[in-house]
Amino acid sequence: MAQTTLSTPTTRVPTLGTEKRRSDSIWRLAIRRFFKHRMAVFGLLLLVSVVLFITVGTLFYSEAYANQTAILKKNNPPSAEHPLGTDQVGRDILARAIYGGQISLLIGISSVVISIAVGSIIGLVAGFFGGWIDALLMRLVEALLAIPTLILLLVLSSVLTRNTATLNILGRELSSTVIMIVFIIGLTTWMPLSRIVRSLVLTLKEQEFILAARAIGVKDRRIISQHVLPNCLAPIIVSATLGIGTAIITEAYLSFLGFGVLPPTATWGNILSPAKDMIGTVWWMWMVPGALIVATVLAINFIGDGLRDAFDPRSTK
Amino acid sequence: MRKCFRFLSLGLIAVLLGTLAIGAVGAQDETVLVLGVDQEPERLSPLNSLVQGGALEQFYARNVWDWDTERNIYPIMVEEIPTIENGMVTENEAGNTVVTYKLREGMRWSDGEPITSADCEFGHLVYTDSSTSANIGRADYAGAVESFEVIDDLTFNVVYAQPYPDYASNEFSNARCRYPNHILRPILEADGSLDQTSYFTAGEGVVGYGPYRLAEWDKGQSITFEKNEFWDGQEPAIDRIIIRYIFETAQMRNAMETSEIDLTYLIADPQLPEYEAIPGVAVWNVPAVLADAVWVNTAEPGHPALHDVRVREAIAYALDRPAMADGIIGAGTLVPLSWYPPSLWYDGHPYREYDVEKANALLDEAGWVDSNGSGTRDKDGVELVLRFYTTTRQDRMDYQLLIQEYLSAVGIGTQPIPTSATILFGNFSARGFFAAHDFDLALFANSAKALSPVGDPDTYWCTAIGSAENPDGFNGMSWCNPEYDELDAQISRTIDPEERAELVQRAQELFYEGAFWHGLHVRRNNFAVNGDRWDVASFEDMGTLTNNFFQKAEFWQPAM
Amino acid sequence: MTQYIMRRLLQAIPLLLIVTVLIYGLLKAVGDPLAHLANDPLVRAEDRAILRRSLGLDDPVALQFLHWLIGDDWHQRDLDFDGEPDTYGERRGVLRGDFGESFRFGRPVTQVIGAVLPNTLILGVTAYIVTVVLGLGIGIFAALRQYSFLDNLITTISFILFSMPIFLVALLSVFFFSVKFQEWGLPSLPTGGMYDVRGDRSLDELLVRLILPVFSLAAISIARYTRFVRASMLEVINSDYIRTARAKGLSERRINYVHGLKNASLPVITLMGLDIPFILSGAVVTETIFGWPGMGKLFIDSLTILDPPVLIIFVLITAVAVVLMQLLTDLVYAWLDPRIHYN
Repeated sequence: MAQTTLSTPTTRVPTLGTEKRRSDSIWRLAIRRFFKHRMAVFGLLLLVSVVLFITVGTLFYSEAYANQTAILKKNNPPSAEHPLGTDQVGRDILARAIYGGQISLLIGISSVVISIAVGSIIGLVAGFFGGWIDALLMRLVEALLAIPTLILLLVLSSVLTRNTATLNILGRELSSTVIMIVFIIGLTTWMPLSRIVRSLVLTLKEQEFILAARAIGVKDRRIISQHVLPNCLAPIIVSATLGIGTAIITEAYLSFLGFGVLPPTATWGNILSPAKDMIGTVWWMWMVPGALIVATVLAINFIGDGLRDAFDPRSTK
Repeated sequence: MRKCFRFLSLGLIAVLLGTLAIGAVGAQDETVLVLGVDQEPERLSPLNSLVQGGALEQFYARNVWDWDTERNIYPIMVEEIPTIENGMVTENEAGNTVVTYKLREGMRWSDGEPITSADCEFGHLVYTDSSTSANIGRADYAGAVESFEVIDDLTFNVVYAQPYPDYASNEFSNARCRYPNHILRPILEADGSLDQTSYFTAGEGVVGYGPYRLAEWDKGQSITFEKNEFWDGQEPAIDRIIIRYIFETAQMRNAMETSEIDLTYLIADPQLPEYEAIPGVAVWNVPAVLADAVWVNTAEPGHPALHDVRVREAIAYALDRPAMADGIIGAGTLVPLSWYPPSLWYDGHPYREYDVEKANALLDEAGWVDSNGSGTRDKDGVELVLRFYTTTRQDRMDYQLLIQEYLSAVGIGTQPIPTSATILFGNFSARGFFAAHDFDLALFANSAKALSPVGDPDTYWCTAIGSAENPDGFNGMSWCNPEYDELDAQISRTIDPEERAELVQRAQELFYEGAFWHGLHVRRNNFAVNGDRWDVASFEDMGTLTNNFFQKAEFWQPAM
Repeated sequence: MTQYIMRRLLQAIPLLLIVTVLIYGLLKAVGDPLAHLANDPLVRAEDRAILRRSLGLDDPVALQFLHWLIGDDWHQRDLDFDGEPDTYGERRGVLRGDFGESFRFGRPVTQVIGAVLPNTLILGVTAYIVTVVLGLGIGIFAALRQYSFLDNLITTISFILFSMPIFLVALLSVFFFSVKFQEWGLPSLPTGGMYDVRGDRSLDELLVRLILPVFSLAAISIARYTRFVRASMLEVINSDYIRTARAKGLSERRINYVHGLKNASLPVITLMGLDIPFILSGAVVTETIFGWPGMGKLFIDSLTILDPPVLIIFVLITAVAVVLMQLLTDLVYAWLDPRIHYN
């Protein structure tokens, strides 16, 4: 048992250069496993179509068009001119869904990157070093976890809206609330992951292969990166994939509560939010962003699931 | 693990106990109307300052007199409306107004006690002495009223401290006899104030004079009103009126469609088509006394361009306000000419029509031109980009977008910022955007006085400009015109109607010239009733003031 | 063990203090508790100023916090604005058992919260039990039958629900099961509320009205449990010692449910432990949409018309619950995994 577990982690994380040949085969193996996972492939196809939709779509509609209001044409059902109808101020929903999708995905991915980075580092450090570092970090996590996320979200939002500006990023006019929301979501979601990582590290620390590595004088940093981190990869991947979906949904949730991304920038969340009062009549207004959110989150989760199985040889029978 | 199970079983027990606490109450063969309301009052009392709580008072506590749908005054608790003609409004030696109230005989509170002058005298005490309660709208009562004279059990005089033309129309003139003295005076004597008692908040026994009385208040869920046996007016056809709280816009409509509620009010304008689409539901509206407007900050630390009245005027000319009102609120929506109620707009009241050329000319004249080709105008290196705040109401956020486009067409950039009301309306020391002058444009509503031409000293006078010394002043736009303040004070004590009308016109001219308030639309109070179950015509007689909608509830009838 | 518990509880005191200081400071940035009175022409500026002062909002923030902690009956304020302090405060402070009075309702915070807490427990505990039972059951099932048709079907359905914003789940479920079902003449569910205001307040009626809110809450969280349980189970089932157990000839049932489940439960218990305290803080969106007067609705109302005394006790209750649950989680850890030692 000690031997197999000792060898698994080192082979699972390919290091550049030294083990190139071997790592190639690991990746190839993982890719083959991934493509055997039917739902993962379906998820990938779904995500590719969503990405195509939000990128190729920009060839047909400009962002200025997406933000252009026409109050006389408000709440119009789908027509030749507006294939997916118009919203409550007459903006084209198809065009908004295209540009809104880019922002929603951006928010989902960037906030999870922040969340995963902070969560894993704190969990690893706390679990591995123990002692007062652990105590201090876990008290911090406890304090933050003890405050309902919503109060943090809303308080941060109300403090930050005092300095809202429209930024010009890569030639696009974006509301600075996009960046604000990335940080708000990222910084309010890392705590559970840090506890999960810590608890895994606590268990792992007592296992023979770590004790052995320590006994032969391997440095802490190397033990973490070579032995501990790879063993935490499964829960981190599960957490990250679910996290991207959750972040996209949280953005919608914030819009629902009136703290979402501000105009002119569209997101799926702020297209969906005014539609909630018109479910029965203006159905195209919630159905389009709603379906896109579900499709994207679904796809990302399937992919994450597939990746998890693919990277972890132990999970396949 | 065992602890875990114990926790779960404790939870289960809590569930069971919680459900047992809700007893079963059955009722048959009664006419019951369910009214859907989206905001719960914190207390049921005439002390209430929330609009919705005030509206519910009409079921259990009527005023001395009131105004019907056409805004004609009619008596309720008094024998007749005091006027100069019937000799009940007189002048004393000092030339100040004295009003005689003559209560009708035989009126009783809903607990059976007779209603007398002593009750009205208690109301006077509450209105004049701030220490009796801090949670009350007093307007300028204490300053305007000098004394209260009890003549007999049913007759009393109110002596004003000045000539007082608004003796009938002021907010407190008709609400003075709503405090049962026999209940509240002992409370006041025991507690020293009415703010500590649970009388208004506990939901039991609130006593008043109205067709109904409070039967039960189940916080967060419902309020039940039942017939008041001591009511001596028209006997209601409906046995019980139940208020049901529904907090979500879409759910209110759903409950209407599934007939869980019979009536609802204050429906947001964009929701009207939703209700009109329900078969059998009748929808109508009456004008409200609220108007949404763009408020412009005229001084530091607002944008320097707005210090120039020409730029402020240009903003109004750049907006096609009727088109926006038609589009967002609904066809035929009234665009307010000024903060003053429509009944006071004089012939030829000026209005800044949509005129892009004029807006551009004014901006050029003021020296704001696009000198660097950025797309927005600038002057002395400062870009004309304005911070534009509003609350998170959907129709206001939609307005923001349209205004942004209209303004950008004349080279004015805006940053629309919807924010929470607690920040926007915070006072000066809490750094509220409006009161602390920390905004350029703001979009929100304020209520006009429906019946009186007197202004709002707390908002428009120089003395109301918020500062560290005056943190609760609500003049956020820093508009200050001493002539206006003087006129306003004069209006409040000018009896002669013609003389008064002239002063009002002059005040409105000054207000208009200030160009700090650009009205967007007059709000409407929208109602919807289930026409399959109820006689719609009997419901249409809703009041049009701030909260007197349900003043004719006793005339509501089931469908034939 | 007792010593360990005592130590952890003592450690919680500074934690709770940090949480309250943090929240007290943050709430100052949320806005002005009297903002809703500012725009009301009937409420005079003078009355707002008196109210502000008597509520202690004019005191420096640090002093306000001190008053909240130990009371202000030793502190005089100038309520008649004549330049001289004249009136003592009436609060005794949290440490002396006075949890403050709601600005908005003018009632003790304990009463305000006490009135809604049972409602939240009815909804929250039911939804939690449904979620955990179904989540564990489905998760284990899916792990034992990895990649079977049923595994894929369950995964797909739970993912679709998980991928929806809760307000959309709630509003769509009402739209179909209440509005449309009634239109189509099918047995339909009520749109919201805890009972029928027209009369029926029986337990049966409550259960009927629990269906949609519990469905909305469970729909979006079952997937979290299912995925987590499945992932943890797979991790363990495919590990070497299970293979060893299998090699030893233990029955498949015993391997899966005793060895597998016990070891897979560590991360799952973390998740369960983290969720329990937040039953107390309620479900903002669900309670708002279904007109369920619970803690979540109270919370969002207390934020909208800013009511700091209620919000602080609200946060404090959650914090205490979190501390207790984390202690409990750690004890369960030690029981499940003898390799973890506490000293």
